[in-house]
Amino acid sequence: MSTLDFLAVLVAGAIGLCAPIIVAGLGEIFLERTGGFNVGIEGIMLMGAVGGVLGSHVAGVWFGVLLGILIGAVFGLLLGVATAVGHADVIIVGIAIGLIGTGLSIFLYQALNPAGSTNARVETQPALHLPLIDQVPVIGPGLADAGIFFYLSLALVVLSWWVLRGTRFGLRLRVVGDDEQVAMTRGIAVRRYRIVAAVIAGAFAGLGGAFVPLSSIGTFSPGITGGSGFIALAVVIIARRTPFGLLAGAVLFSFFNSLALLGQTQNLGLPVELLQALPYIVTLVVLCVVSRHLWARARRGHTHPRAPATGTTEIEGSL
Amino acid sequence: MPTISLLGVSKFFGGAQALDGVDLVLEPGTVHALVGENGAGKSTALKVLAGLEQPSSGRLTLDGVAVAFSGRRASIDHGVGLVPQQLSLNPEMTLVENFVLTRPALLAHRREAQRILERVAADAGLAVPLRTPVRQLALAQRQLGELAIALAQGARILLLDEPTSALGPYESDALFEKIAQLAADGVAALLITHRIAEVRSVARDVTVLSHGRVTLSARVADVTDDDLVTAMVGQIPAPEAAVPFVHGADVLVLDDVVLPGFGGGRIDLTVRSGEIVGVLGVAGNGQGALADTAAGVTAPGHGRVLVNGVEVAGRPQRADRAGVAYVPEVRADFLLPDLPLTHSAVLRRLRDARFTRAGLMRWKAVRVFTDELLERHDVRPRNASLAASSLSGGNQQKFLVGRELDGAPAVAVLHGPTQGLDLYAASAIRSEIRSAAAQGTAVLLVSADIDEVRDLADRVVVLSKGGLADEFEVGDFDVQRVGRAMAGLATGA
Amino acid sequence: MRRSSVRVRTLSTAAVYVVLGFVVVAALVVSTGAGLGDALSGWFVGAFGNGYNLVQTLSNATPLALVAVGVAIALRANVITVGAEGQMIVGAIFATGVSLWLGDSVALPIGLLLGALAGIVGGALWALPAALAKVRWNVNEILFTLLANYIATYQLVFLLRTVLRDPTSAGSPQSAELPGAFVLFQLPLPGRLHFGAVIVVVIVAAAVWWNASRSAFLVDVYGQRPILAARLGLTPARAVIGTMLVSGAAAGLAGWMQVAGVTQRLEPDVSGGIGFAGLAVAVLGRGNPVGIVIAAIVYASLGTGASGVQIATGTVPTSIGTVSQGVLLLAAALALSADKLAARSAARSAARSGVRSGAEQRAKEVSA
Repeated sequence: MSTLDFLAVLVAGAIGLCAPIIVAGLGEIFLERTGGFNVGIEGIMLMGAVGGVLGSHVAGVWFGVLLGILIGAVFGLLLGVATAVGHADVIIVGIAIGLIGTGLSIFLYQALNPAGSTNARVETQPALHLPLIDQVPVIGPGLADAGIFFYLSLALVVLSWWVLRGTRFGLRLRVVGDDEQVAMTRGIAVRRYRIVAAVIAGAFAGLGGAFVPLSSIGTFSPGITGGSGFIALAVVIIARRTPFGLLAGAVLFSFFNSLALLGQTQNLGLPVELLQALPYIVTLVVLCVVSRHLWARARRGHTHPRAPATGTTEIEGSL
Repeated sequence: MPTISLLGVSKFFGGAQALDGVDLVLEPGTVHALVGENGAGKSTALKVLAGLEQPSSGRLTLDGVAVAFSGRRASIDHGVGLVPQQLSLNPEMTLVENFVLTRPALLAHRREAQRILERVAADAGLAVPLRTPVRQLALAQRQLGELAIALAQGARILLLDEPTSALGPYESDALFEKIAQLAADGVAALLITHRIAEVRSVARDVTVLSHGRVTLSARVADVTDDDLVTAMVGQIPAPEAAVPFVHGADVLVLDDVVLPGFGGGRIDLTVRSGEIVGVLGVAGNGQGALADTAAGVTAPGHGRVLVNGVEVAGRPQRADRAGVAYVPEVRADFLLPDLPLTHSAVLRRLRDARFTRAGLMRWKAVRVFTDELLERHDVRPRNASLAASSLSGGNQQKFLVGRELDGAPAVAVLHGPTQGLDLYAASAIRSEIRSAAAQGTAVLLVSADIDEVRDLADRVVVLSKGGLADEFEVGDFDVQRVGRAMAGLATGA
Repeated sequence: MRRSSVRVRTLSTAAVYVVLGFVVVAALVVSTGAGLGDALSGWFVGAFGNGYNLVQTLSNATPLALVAVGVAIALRANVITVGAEGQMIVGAIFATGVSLWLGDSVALPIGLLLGALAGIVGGALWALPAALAKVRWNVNEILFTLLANYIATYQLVFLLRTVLRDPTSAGSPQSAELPGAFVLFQLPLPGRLHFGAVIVVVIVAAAVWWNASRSAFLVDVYGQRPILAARLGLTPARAVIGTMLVSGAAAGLAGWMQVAGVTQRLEPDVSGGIGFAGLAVAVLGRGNPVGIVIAAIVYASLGTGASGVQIATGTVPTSIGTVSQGVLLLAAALALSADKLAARSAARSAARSGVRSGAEQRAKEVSA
């Protein structure tokens, strides 16, 4: 295999793998703009995956996608209500939701597929082959056969970018995250925006999760998302909460993931475990580099570092 | 014809009553001052008018018709503009974007929003950059921007919550000129303040609140200053006679210091034992950086900070050991919000053998000490096991100042020690500061309150753009001169 | 008076959340066609019903409690680490490596000591990069430790395939059996519970003592206001690195215990998904060492009890255990925040009425 062919295979693999991370990350961007954080993202993606398989089994692949979104939205609602209304700690709630999602996905899988029964394949995304583009070297073949889910996630990147930048809703999400007090005096229903953002994050995570089995595998297995959610969390921070940055980060991670997959079938001269760990190592290194940069900038900008404000100021002078 | 009014409005928070049958009538084309000491209910009244709180009983009327604001959104729609004390602009966005937030359209339409804002600002004579991130605007500019947005939203009623608390005399005068002009154009303005001079300079009517009740409501021209003070607090305790003290050795020395984040100006400043040096300046000119630097909390860009000859610049632990007490501008920074008061109380006493033994904390002794501290400084409620964040702002301040000044430290850096306190508590804290100085503490008092500095300080410096613009003995105090220095104008000494 | 009524109200709120959580889990059980009574008794039997099951629950609770004690210390400094998984793996690798390398050349107590030490060093070393990255570059420690867990897992698989692989075992990758001097002996109980459980009890006692210490107080101060801790000599670097090293060491020690006490050899699933569980138990135990022990037993009982539920009903999968653990944690998170809010609002209304009566008192004094 020539180097070009090899690269083309790698790129095709990366394109095939990145959609779940992109989509889950987009939801996380909405959530983090309001100051939230979803450690339970992996669990929600697993629920989306199980929902996707079930839905596809019942009424076809698009129903599976819809079911994944709906289940994810329900979990997002749980996250939003527990944190915005119940004022519970966002990390603990996230972990709890992650546990529930992980456990429940296996529960449903086991309950509906009693041991011994064959794990039937369900309908996956319809084949899509774009003409012409496959003539482009290296990236062409991958793009031509990337599949509908990949192009759907690209469309969602553009849509999210526009919503965050060009609509009042997007600006309001930012205010809620930047300064809650400002948002309230501006007449913005902070709690509602927090919940809506959490529901969006859940729905996107569910969609991303549904993409995982419905791209090509067609079956569910416990832990099928393999840490995509956590990767999405890291990539969102690396991308500084911008949709196009997320796209780049997700493709980068998927590129190394694709390398690891290739390494399992071909001898690339490196231990396969190193190749498998490589995407995580790369993500970690980039995370450190970006954090370092942001930290240096924050310290330059705010020469008067200050501990986070407590909830005490709100009462001042209110009597 | 009244534009907006409160009729017999009461407001309860839990079991406590914040407003008790308050009547307040705002007329178009006038400025109405609402005064009272801290905690009198001014802010609650303002929040009810702005739709941020709903009255427990009583009525809110608009143009004579009863209305109920379900939230801030509804009051905006009825033409109620608000300029809160903590400005409601997102510093990360431009003024245009801040305006877009409240517009009815779903899409951002930045250009259209900018046109509207530009027109309104031009009509009202408010010159502010609309497309610069608010973070980069001076405080006075932000205030004008806030006014412009309120007007662009169609406000006929303006609620201004202590708008001059962080402004210098020149900027305050400019703001009042704008407000008077808007009133002349038919706007009804409510000005919350505790400065009687401001009431006189701009308001036609005045209402005084005390403990949630209206104690006075009249034309400003018909009342004397004494009437207003009596209505606010009953009777103020007479200030103590200043104890003359011979200043001792140089204790706190800032040597050739450049404040972090401020280029240029080098600061040389010495505070002697028993001396109170006041620092004045328009907010944002380096007060926080100066206080942090002097207290050893942050390192200066250049120069040395010495306490009795020990270098403490950027060394919080050394500063603590050298006996530097510090009350920062944001008091919550120096309290442990979610831990019991005992924890916050013992912070400066950890080297005391009474409170630790063999590496273990002696919480019983700490508790006794904390109870005494609460009692001595009248912190309410007197419950040492409460979390610090559950105290009201004023009580937090009393607690913090008490903790830091306890035991006559070598140096006390105090940034706005009486902010947010009622007159009684403020005067108690002032006499504590005096008595600490009488016992030899070198006090650096950073305050936005010109009267307070004049009252307490032996020597005054004026801070402008991170450097010292002027320095004089308090005997030479001259508001004109201070105002010029604060405004960054050359000092014609 | 008021305080106790607040307490009662919070407790009842907490009870409501727990009951709601129970209803959710029960609904799941019933949805599979199982009887609720069968499931409940199955759970009890599975977790505590006989000596063997009870000991199994305690055995599962042992590493959980140890890891959670470490995590709780980091939590006090506001450092949220979910890296126990990777730290446990690396601790186990170090302990196994040292044991197999030294072989039969050392005597029993020394072997155990060296193994434990190796585990501690391994766990702490794996925690160090996350700590340094947080201190130097403000890297989010949750993400760092999460990603590091994956790297540790692949590292373990690699070592078990190559250097540490037991040449005599043909099947699943695993290390050779540890030499006798490195194996923790079992307590004389039905089932298997190794001596490490006693070590954990001693560590918990030490943690109780430490909780009352000046340094614990400083860590608390750091967790709320780093600048105040710096004033007392605890710099951010020391606070973050110190607490993360301690939590890494605890996890590494737990890794050693799993190898030396439970499996007696290194296996791929040595950590068993403890990353989030350690944090969950630390939260459920409210950071208090004794509370953590209780929480660890309850948490572990949901896992062991789930097997009992499956046996008793035949239809409910064991993953009901994970679901109930999540539901329990969610209920606890809501109850904790309700408690905090209630305490705060009680204090505020007390302060308000206090201010009022104080003001009125002064007014009287003035008029008199």
